[in-house]
Amino acid sequence: MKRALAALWMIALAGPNEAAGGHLERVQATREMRVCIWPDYYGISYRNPKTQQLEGIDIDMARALARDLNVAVRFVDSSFAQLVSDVTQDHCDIAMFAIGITPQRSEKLRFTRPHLVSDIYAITTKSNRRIRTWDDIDKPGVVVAVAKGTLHEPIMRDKLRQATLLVTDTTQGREQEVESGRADVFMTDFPFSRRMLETTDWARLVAPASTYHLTPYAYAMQQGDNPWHARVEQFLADATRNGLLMDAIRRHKLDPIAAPASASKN
Amino acid sequence: MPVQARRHRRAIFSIVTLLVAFSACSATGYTLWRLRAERIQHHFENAAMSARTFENHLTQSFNIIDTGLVQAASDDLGASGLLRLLRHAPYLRSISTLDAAGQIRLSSDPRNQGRAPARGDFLPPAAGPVEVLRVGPLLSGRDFHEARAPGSSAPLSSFIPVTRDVRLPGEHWMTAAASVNADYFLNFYSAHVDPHGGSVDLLRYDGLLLLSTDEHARPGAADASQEILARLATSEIGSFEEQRPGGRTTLTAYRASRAYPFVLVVRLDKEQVLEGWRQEAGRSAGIVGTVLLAALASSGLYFARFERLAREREADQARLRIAAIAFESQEGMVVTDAAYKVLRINKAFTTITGFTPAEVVGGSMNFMKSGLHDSDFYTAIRERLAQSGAWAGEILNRHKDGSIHSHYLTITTVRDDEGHPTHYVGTLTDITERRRIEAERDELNRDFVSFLDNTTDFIYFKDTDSRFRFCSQALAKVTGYRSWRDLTGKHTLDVFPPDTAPIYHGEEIAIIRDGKPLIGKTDPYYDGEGRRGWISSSKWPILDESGKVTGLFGISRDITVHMRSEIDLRIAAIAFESQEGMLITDASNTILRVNRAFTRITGYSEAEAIGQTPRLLRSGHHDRDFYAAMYASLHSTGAWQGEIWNRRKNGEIYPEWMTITTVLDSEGNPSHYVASLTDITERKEAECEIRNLAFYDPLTQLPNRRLLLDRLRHTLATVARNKRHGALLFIDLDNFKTLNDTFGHDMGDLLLQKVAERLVGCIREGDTVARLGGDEFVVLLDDLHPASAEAGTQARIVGDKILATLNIPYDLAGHDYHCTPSIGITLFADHEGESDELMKRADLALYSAKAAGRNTMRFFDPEMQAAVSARAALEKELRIALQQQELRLYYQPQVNEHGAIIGAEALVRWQHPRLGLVTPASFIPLAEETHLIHPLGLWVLETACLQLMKWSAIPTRAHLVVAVNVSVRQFRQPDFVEQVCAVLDRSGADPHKLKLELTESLLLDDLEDVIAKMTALRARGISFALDDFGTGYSSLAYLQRLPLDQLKIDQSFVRDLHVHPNDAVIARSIVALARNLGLSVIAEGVETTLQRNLLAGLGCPAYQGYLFSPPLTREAFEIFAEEWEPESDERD
Repeated sequence: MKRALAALWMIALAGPNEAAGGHLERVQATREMRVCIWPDYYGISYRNPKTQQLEGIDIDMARALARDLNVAVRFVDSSFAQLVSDVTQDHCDIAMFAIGITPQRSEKLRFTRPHLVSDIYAITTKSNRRIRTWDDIDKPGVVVAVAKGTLHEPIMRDKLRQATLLVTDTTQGREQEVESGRADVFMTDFPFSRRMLETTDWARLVAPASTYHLTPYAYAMQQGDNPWHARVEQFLADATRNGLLMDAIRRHKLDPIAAPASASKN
Repeated sequence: MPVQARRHRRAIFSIVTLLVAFSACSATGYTLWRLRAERIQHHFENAAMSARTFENHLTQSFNIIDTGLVQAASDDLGASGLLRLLRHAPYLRSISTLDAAGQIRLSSDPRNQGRAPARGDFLPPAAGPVEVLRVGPLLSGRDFHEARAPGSSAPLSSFIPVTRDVRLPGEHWMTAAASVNADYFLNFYSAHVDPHGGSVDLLRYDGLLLLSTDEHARPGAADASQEILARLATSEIGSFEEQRPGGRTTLTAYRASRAYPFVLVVRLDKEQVLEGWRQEAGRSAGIVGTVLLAALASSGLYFARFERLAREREADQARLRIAAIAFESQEGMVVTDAAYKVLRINKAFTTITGFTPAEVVGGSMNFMKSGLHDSDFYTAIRERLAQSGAWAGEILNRHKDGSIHSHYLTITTVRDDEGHPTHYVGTLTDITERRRIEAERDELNRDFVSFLDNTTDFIYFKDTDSRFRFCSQALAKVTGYRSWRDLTGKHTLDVFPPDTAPIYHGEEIAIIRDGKPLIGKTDPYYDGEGRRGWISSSKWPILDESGKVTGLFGISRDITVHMRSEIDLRIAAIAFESQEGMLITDASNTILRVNRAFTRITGYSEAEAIGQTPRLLRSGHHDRDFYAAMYASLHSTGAWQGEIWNRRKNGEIYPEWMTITTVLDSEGNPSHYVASLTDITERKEAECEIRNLAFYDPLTQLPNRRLLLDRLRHTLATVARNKRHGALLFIDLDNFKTLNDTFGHDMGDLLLQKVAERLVGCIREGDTVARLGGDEFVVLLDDLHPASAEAGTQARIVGDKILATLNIPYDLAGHDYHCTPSIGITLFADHEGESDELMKRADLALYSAKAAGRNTMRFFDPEMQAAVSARAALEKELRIALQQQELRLYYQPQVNEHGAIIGAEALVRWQHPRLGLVTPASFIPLAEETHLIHPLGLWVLETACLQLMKWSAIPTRAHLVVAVNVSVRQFRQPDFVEQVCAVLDRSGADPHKLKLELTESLLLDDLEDVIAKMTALRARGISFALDDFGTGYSSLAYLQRLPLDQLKIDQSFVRDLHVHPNDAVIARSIVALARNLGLSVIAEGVETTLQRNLLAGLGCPAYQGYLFSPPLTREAFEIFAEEWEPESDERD
């Protein structure tokens, strides 16, 4: 039912955008592909502050896609807060930074097949006495931080019953709130939680005892551009089949959250 | 001497070994001790270094905080400015500025506004504004807006409040405050000090604990370590070994902040620190120990080898000594050089040859030559010596006295290293005597062989394995050998036929084993032609000098002819003494001979029977014609046989199978009659048994339906005749089919057998358990109570027992199986229906039991069901009554002829909560049936005794005797005497004031037991009265034997005393009887003055009854006794 509605929606939007000229044509004409990334996304699209080099699975995938199209790649800094406007206002041809497929985003953007699936994880400080297990989170007096624009914001707003939700403008903001003790936990996904554990000595991971809320991650583009979408899907299908995708996932140690379809059938 | 030397060597070896081991251990110990000290020193340095690092971090963090606060106070930043200050300061929760009143005016967290930090206990203390950072005590809560003093346990979140006064231009002061995130420091310390290995505490300078990595610490409390505060007074930096609560020791380093009022304390657990050292020490000790052990083991082995060599040297010396002694042995010895020149002889040589050393040493060896051997003989000896180095043989030598002696000579060549002969050693034994003995033995052998060749007896010598050494020719002949020599080495079992050989062998084994001879044993044997005959054998063991058996010899002789006649006689005797009775008469029927079987069957001994005629045995069961027919048959056919009933000596009549044969003389006239007789009583019984098998169920051995119906018919008749009740119980196992289906029929059969066993255990002897088939069982009870209610209860009690018994789990071949029965009961009396009808009723009752939910029982008659249930309820209530003290004891006074109260009879009443006062007649019979009489009787006895005890203290009542009724059932208990004695002991009552009343029915029991019990109790002082006297069956003989004290005239005689003259006669007789037996007498049921006076006239001196008083409660009785005037009744 839902899928049928989405299809109708897409048909309705298809006409005008296609008339304006597809991204595939533009990319091939300019021989350059613009890719939106969030440079703070560890393991996905991370700009190493020491080298200023980009690294992460989606950086690798974007470069592979450019190779496949035989064009150059240009990375455009974005964030989850700016994502929708950056894509719809055509600041980039595609957003490639493990974007969680949420209903709100699906209304505005078109997603490729998901390549990662992450649950929600909480990060607290080692010395925090309130939070011992996942069940301690939704309790009176607990302050839960989320970054504005991330997929966690609507989910936690929906799920929390007793704890207080604190929405920070930036992703660093939620870390500061937790580290300074103004908040008890902040919610994040698997790649970011791994970054916290690897780069700080105060962070402690609180994982849900059972599956809490799985979110599939994919690449986003404008709605209605069927040739472009088909071309990227083609690339992804090839990358899945020849193992390129899975190699990239493994290289960045994200195999625990690889989407089931990401592994090659043969 | 060598032993002493060996001990000395061992002592030195042990001391050296110990010294080496001690040195190695000491060196290792010292090294390990040094390592330990170094490790502790090293970790003290670690702790100090950590303290310095943490202090540095802390001081720098607070420098930044200080700077931030100064900026916040100096510049009017606004709320967003304050938030900016927080952005890279994870050690701060909030920054605020205070107004002049000390309240928060503006804060990065708006919730803090209006709060006032309590700055009274901040450090450093200050009366007015000062330009330093001041630190407050730890507060519980996330920030100022929820700040509280910390409680007894560690708070969920906490912060350290700090303030900073800043002088603004124009002597104007501004204050900023911050809440410091204590967790930030805690995370930092935790990341650097392993929580298992140590802890880090942050103290305020006054000793207040701000935070600790130790989970059990209580931040906010004054730190317990007074030692650190004391040391802080002298030095801001230091380290020491600290004793912690809980017995732990820590290596503690502390360091005060350079600028702020904080002290950092780092503690490392000494045990943890030393853990590594301990492992290392263990390993080192292990290696040193192993090396030391290996060294000790190899030196031990070396020492052992040294000792062995020393022992071998001693052994060599001993061998030399032995050789010297050997030279002086009993054999003559001579040593010559290579040229046969005598060098040395020993004493034995002189004894054997007569030559002394002085005569032969230095001379040639030929001084002994006899001249009887030619020169070739001596040449052969020399050649032999040259070849093989030794010669041995017999040689004839000449003694010094000229006589020729036979010597056995051994010559051995001694060679040098090149193999050339250097000496010859000769050993000489005189064998002249031996030669003589041998000659003698040869002669003996010749004679013995001649004897063996010619004797007709069987002579044999065998070894311990029963193999022939030699034997007589006669034996060879019967065993089929040509010569006796062929038998030598043959085994007994191989020589003789298989049926006789084991007999001989067995005898020989016994002789060899026991060393005892066998004399005159008769054994079978087969002669040369294979005919079986007999031999008489005697065999003896052959012993050597030490008494050990080395073999055996024996002589056997053919005694067949002699044996044949003996056996014939014995067979005849045995034939006559067969299992059948035998009787021989002459022609005139006089008994000549009988056998033992005859005596056994008839009971008449040989002496009693001989001379009599067979008439002796006549039973009288047969008429004249029977005997006439018997004689006719004997005359016509010469024989008779048939079944005949005879009489034994003890009068018993028994059936007999008899065969009579006529023995005719040479003229054909009867000379003797021979009769054989067999007792066929058992055969008759066996026939009976076979018939009975038709009446029993083969699986459970219980009566089957046929026999049950037979018994039921019989019971119906008996019950009608005796005016009693019977009962039929149908029992069916619930869900038996399931068991069969689940576990198979074998398991079902096993269960049925176990159920049958248990059922038999539930019933009295005389009752019947039968199996109808399947899982249907029937119990037939007869001889139940004449009253149907009592009979119903009796049947219910059996039913209850069956329910309880069959409910116990069964062990079915290892399976624990639980099974319940349903029971249908019908009662019957006096031809109530036919047996088929009764079976139907019981079956119907069984169905209603099943319908009522199984594992229960139901009566066919609904009224009976109701009555039985009511009685069961009454029984339950009585049980409760016993527990809840609903029973009361009443006392009816007993009065003597002067009217004085002499005692009372104790009577039990039941104060029923619903029914009111219940008389004993309603519940005593029930109590008897249900065994409740035991606790009830005991309660009565105990209550009466306690009353006696209380009365004994009151002078006017101390003389009262209390009579207590004892039921038959109670008296029958094996420990009745012990029970009564125990009650007396417990209560302390005087036994002389206790009288037990028994009824005559007791006398139907085991009288000896009754007398024994009464005697035992009487020995304690208890007296006995016989209650209801005159109504029962008392034999006067019994009365005399019983240790009684009193007879109690039954009230039935008293009631009609003035109406029926017979009753007066009986009463008078009882009084007279009592007087004659030396017993006292009392009348019960005295209701009128007339009765009293009549009884007094008959000589009865004591009374009990409503004339004086009904049974009274204790209180009423005591009042009655107080108010009673002895002669009052006489005035009526």
